[in-house]
Amino acid sequence: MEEEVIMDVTLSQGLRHLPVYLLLDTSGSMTGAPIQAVQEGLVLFKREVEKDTFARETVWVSIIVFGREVLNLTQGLVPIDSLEIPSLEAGGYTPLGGALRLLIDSLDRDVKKPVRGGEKGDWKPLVFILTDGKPTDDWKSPRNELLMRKERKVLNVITVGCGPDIDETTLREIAIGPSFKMDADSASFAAFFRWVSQTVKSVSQSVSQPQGENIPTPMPIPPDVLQYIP
Amino acid sequence: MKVRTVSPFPDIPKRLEVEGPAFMGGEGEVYFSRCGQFVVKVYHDRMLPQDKEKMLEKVLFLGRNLGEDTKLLCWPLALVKELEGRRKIGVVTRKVPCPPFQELVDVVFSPREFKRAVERGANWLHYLQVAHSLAKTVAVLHGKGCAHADLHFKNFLVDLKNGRSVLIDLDGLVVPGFLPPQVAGMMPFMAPEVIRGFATPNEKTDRHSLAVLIFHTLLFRNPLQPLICYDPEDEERDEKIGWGEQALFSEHPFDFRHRPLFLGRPLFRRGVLSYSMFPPFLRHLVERSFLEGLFVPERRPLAREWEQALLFSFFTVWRCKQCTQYFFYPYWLPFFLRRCPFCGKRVEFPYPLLGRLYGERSSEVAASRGEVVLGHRFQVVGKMFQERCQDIFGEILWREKGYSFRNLSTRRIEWLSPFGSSGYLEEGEEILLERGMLLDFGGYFLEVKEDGCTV
Repeated sequence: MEEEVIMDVTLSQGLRHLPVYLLLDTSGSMTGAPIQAVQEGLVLFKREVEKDTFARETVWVSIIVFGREVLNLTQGLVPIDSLEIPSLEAGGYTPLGGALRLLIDSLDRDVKKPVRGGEKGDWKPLVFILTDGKPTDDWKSPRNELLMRKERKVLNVITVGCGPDIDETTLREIAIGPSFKMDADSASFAAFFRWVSQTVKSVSQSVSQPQGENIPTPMPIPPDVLQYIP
Repeated sequence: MKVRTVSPFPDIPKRLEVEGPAFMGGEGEVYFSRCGQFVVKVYHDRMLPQDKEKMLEKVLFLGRNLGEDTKLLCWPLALVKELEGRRKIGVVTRKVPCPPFQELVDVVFSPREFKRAVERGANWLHYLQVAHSLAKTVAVLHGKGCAHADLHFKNFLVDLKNGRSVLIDLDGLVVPGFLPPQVAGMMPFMAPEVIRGFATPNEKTDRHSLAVLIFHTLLFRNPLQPLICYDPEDEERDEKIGWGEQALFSEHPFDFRHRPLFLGRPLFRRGVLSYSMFPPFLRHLVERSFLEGLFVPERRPLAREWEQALLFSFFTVWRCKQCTQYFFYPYWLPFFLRRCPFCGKRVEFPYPLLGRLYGERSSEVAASRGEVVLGHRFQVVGKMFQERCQDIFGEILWREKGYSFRNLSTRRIEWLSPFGSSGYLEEGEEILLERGMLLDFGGYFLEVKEDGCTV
């Protein structure tokens, strides 16, 4: 019998990555079932995105939590298949501003910049923000910075508020792109993460299809549990 | 949900119960029928051209007498009239069973997908079969005067283990003067002239897409993948330039802008496969597609040419003793350079027997593809000479002193040695083969170019 051959293969060269940022609220009010549901949601997200060949090869993820501490748990962007799901702990306030700062840092540091005649850059990042309350720090100035960026801009920031404490007015103020609200039960979280996975999959694919200049990135219709805030 | 349909085929139900949507695409939503037999695609109203339904009727009309070709082409069978009582436009096709079928992208996207498939028991030979099936499918479609207009690796469903494929999404067919183009395509598979807006999809742009698909299926990468940035301000424009205006074959002989690193290094040692592992007659088609024909559509090989060349290429494969993959035996290289492109192992003694084919009527055996690679228990068959010939002439056997040929047919086969002797083989008789020997199967000849023993 032949000896076992080790198949050490590489990824395709020249593929653009699609950076995906998940900004997750881990404040005290998320304690218990909600944080558990978010944790499970992350597992579902990884599993769903990995199933899709396009997404598996192109999606890079960063998870930023804001609660007792503000942390980039993945320390930058990691390929979806080497993403290790961190364990989340709830506690503290809702320092959304700090999280936005970390997002800006990572955009500057980790998103690959194109060089004319040299390496291609990454796709514009997708950002999802999940929060259950009012921000407790200065979030206005980092939000403005994000809006004013000239290079390495983000493709879309989708904000989802969950639970009974969500204030639509604040949510609308925070949001840069579309915003939604939902309940804080486990079914809602599961539906939310499934929708995030679908969005990521369809964006990773649609970027290789030529579009008219003004057609927005197609986004799967959000599940019923997500209520659009106009 | 309830769907009302109309169909020219009597066996398609007028009413279907569907579940879903299972997918949401750019064009519309896709549902599966509860009976498990049909796929229903319902278009978004806002995306529709005015005469979409008329066009779909024409597509249905073209698919009336498919016969055996339904195995290759998943043709629309009915039109959707209503979904849940609301007026909708859409099509019904049969459902291709997944598994065993899966999207081509899932097995060819990168070497990682190939590795995964190998771990599940697939071999590169299955990929060669799939590539042949892709070419055959497009050849059949083009033979009917239709172009698909949107060939890419999510529109082919493949059954790797059995080397089969099915083409889906035929609702955007193009027939000159009968059906205008409706879709644009997926950038990495689109002909440069379509990306640049100089042409709309047609049979010649299909030829480009097919060549990209075949290359991708056999080498696990896109032959035109841009590797450098053309517009740092706008990624979408950058892509358009890279695949369109600046489209460039990754293995262009003197423009290295899109040449991958580690090209030609064995795949299982973090390498990248090169089309130089193809036999000359296949290399020629690659060059016509991506060097001569990249911007000159008329030069691109016909689907039928790919089909024939890929069929013939089966007679040139050899199995690696180390990694067990099949590969094209590189008879065009000196012995010491003949290696397995996957693991890098040198081909060792006993080497295969290399034969060259001739026909009495030269048109029957294209001189450019005359080589066959033969090993122990390989059969010498009529198909090697002519596609439709079903004859079996004999088999090659490894004996103590070298390869011999045994006559398995009832005809007398004449042999001629390079030293002047000659004779006949009756049924069951065999003869030791040596370099320069000629076998005559009655109008078809096989010359021994390498006997597998002497280097």
